[in-house]
Amino acid sequence: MKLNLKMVFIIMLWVVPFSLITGQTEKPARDKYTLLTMAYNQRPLTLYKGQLQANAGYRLGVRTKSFDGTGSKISLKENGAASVFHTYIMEIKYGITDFLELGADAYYLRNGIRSETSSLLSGGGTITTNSLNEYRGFGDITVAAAVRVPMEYKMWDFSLKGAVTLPVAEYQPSQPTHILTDYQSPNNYTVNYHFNNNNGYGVPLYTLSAVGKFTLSKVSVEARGSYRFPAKEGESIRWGWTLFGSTFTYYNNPYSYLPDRSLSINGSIHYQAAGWFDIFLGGYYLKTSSGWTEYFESKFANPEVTLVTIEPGFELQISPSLTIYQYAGLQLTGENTDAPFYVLTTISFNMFPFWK
Amino acid sequence: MQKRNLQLLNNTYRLILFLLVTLTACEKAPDDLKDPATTDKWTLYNTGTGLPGNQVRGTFCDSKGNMWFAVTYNGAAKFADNTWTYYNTSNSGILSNNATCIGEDSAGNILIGTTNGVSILTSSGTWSYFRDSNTALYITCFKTDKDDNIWTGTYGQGILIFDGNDIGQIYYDEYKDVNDIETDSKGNVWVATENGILKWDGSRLSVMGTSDGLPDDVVTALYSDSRNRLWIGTYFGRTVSWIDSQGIHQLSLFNDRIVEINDICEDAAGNIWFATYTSGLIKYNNAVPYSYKKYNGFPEDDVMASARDNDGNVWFGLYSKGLSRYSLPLN
Repeated sequence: MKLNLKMVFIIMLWVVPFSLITGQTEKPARDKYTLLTMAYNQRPLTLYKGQLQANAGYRLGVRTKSFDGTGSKISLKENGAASVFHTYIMEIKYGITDFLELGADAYYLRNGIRSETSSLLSGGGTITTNSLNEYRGFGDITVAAAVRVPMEYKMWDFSLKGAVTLPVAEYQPSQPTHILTDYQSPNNYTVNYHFNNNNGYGVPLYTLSAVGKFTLSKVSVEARGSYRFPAKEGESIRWGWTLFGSTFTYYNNPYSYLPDRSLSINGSIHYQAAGWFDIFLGGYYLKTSSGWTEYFESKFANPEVTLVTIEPGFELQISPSLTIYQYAGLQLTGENTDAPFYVLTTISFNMFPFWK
Repeated sequence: MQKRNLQLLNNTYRLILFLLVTLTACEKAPDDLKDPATTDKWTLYNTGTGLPGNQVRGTFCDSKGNMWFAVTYNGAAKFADNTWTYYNTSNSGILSNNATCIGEDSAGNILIGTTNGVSILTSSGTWSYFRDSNTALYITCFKTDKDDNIWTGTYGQGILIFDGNDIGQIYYDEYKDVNDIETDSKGNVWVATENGILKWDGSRLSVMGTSDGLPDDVVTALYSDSRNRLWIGTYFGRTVSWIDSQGIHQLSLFNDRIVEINDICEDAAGNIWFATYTSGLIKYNNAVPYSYKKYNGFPEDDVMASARDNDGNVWFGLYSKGLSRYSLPLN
């Protein structure tokens, strides 16, 4: 915990001075209704002073293809196992001033990848193995601080953000729960492997982001660059097992790892069709590097991932305090990664809790 | 105004400096990472790719990580840094080109077993040898025990034990043909013979056979794995056996059919590999045995020897097709 507080302090150390450098006083407060109903093309990159925003999102991902190391597309329906991701995202943000925002987010992910293999033995036996590789649980919590240029938003805006992902979630895989079924003879049975993975990183991660936004009438362009990197190496475990009779006995071995560094660049063009409706087309580029994982007492580089995605979507204001965002992700090209099509729907609740 | 600008500049420099310190203080990947693209692959070596012959009877990884192979009628071959080095009667001090097995003593000298004695390649590159002047000494295996004695198995001459100065012999007529020797974590020495297993516990020699639970008396292979199980392969057994603290256990590899085991080894992931005669290669992942045979793409069904290297690969000596190397998948 001491370490985590230290990391928050580190982020604040470079965020807060930036806001103080400017020495800019905040703008006089406007009425709540005006601020809560501000259209995207009129809104700054951070929340207004005193604004509280709570977001609840659900991302449905359908993993039907992946990209191999050469960038070739692989259909997982034909050459693998397609699967579905369910991600529940929670985020809360608060505007300390008109130019400084604090926030935290977390998610819960559920995903199961099934596969079946029949192993024909030359003695005439058949052993069928079913495998379920399941990911279930909360991810780590990320706390963030963002500052923006200290001026009223008219045409352009610029923001810097620092974030720490705190390793609070379970990250070591839980003990597998394999079972044996359909036992007919020593060489005729079904083995059902069930791997239970968790979603934490196990080590702190830092993220630095810079965002720019430019608006001309109803059209806005937004660009964001983020760089994430791990604070240190982590250590986890791998489960092994033996099957004797119909009983599995488990054991585990430790290994070390270093999460990838990642660079992501987002760009989007928005059209404010009405004061309450904004449509956009986004693009997303991801590249990872420098991570490694220990296998067999040697460190193997993690495959470097690249991924290009387009994200069409919209923002719809339902009421002054309620906004819905929705966008889809379609992967165009990539290397060494799964490419799940996804739809993210977010309900955003906004209020000024301390304003009378 | 000028003062304010200077202050702003000063603060900006501090901010940049802080960011640089934060970034450089974080973990970076080391430079000697291995490439994951080299894993989960089978590689075949034969005379077309540098192996001196295609019949490989012995495989061995020395303490420096070099791979050694006993190649029938073609001497010994070393594979290091992707380079082959050959040792035969015309270019080295090897006693015979009919190499059978490779070993290493505690001083790092390489022992090459042949059908005519032991050739020793010292770490300084000189050769010496041990043989019987009266008869051909057919060497089958080497093992160094916890006291650095070198146990040498033979066909027809029992066991020869070299303690650094003298050579002793354990010879019983019914146990004169030795197929393999292994040590366990307790320091026991196990000897696979054509008539059961001899166990030396440091003070007493005992015998183990079918009456003790072995599937067959002709014991061909022994292997002590990382989980303190002693694996036992036989010639006519319908199962392979392992001994642990609970006793002796049986594992059916092929629906209770006879499997002739030539050699056993464990890979870095804990899988047990059985090199067999006519049944190909069998991987036991501690739950299910998988077979690799000609029908599913393996070069041939007669596998003579197996060994694991320091990089997580397992090597298999084949009867007529050379060598097969498997680099484990990363999962």
